[in-house]
Amino acid sequence: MTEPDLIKGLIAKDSEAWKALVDQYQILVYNVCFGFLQNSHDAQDLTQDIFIEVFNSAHKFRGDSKLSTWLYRISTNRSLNFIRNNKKWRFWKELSSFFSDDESDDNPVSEEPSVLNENMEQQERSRFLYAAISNLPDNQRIAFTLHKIEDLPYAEIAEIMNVTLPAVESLMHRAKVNLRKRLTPLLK
Amino acid sequence: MNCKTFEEQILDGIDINKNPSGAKTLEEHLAQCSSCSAFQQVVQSGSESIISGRRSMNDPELFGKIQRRMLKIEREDSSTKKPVVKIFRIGAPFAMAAASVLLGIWLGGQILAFTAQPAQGTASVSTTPELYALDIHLNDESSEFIESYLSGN
Repeated sequence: MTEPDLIKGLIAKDSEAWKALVDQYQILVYNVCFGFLQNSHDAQDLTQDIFIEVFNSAHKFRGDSKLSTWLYRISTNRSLNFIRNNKKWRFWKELSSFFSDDESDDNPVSEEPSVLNENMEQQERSRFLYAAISNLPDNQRIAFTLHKIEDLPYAEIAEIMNVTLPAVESLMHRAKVNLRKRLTPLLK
Repeated sequence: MNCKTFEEQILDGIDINKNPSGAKTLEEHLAQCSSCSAFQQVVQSGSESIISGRRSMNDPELFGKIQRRMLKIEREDSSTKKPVVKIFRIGAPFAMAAASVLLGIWLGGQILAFTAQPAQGTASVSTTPELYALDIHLNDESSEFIESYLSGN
């Protein structure tokens, strides 16, 4: 199914087009979510939410960019929203557990990287890097994640973020400077 | 070149194919500098583990899961849960307003109770006419002045 046919089908709420979209783009959506969240369960849940959102708002797609660009944009925004909401949720959870003196903590922290099969040292290293990336301002984080993890070129990132190419270059430069600043003291 | 430049190169992920001499210089520096070496290990193994959880194959059940989830959402929308959400949305401002009004009433009551307390010397006076009489009595000087003014004219 070609992209224009797919979009027409989505707008018409055609289940075949809908299935084709999920089959064609689920890896892209999941990987973007995983790149930001570093948790497979959350990434799976969010992938489903994103496809539901796409299904409900397909009529809003103007067709002035590629479908993949639109999906990258939605996935990125939804992932960052999820992290923000999750931070609030974690804050209230921590606050309530502090006041209730409940020391048992059966639920793993949702934002932690899933590195179950690695040794402790490697886990520590990945946590360092993930923490440093997480603390970047949103724009820098999006640019860095899309370029370094999704391996997207600057031009496509500019289209996804709706900014100019020099703006992406600047964001990437600042992201690298900030990462260096954040990582270097941790290693000394 | 200093460590800062090498750290930037590490973050850039220097490509051996594109820049073989740069890669060789970096390798030589890493062999000597422990801090850059540690930096490189963090970036490299951190990136590897971040990327390791990515998917390369489709989940065949995803479409079914999404359909089930959509049905669940539709059912929830049509059931009583929606008004509950709305109540929660408007409930907080209403609760705040009600609490403010109650607090105002309570504070007003406290202030009135404090100001309405009789003076020490008039502890035995309790009825309204007595209080009124007391008030006239307390203002004797002014009433005498008014009386003399009226009688003078």
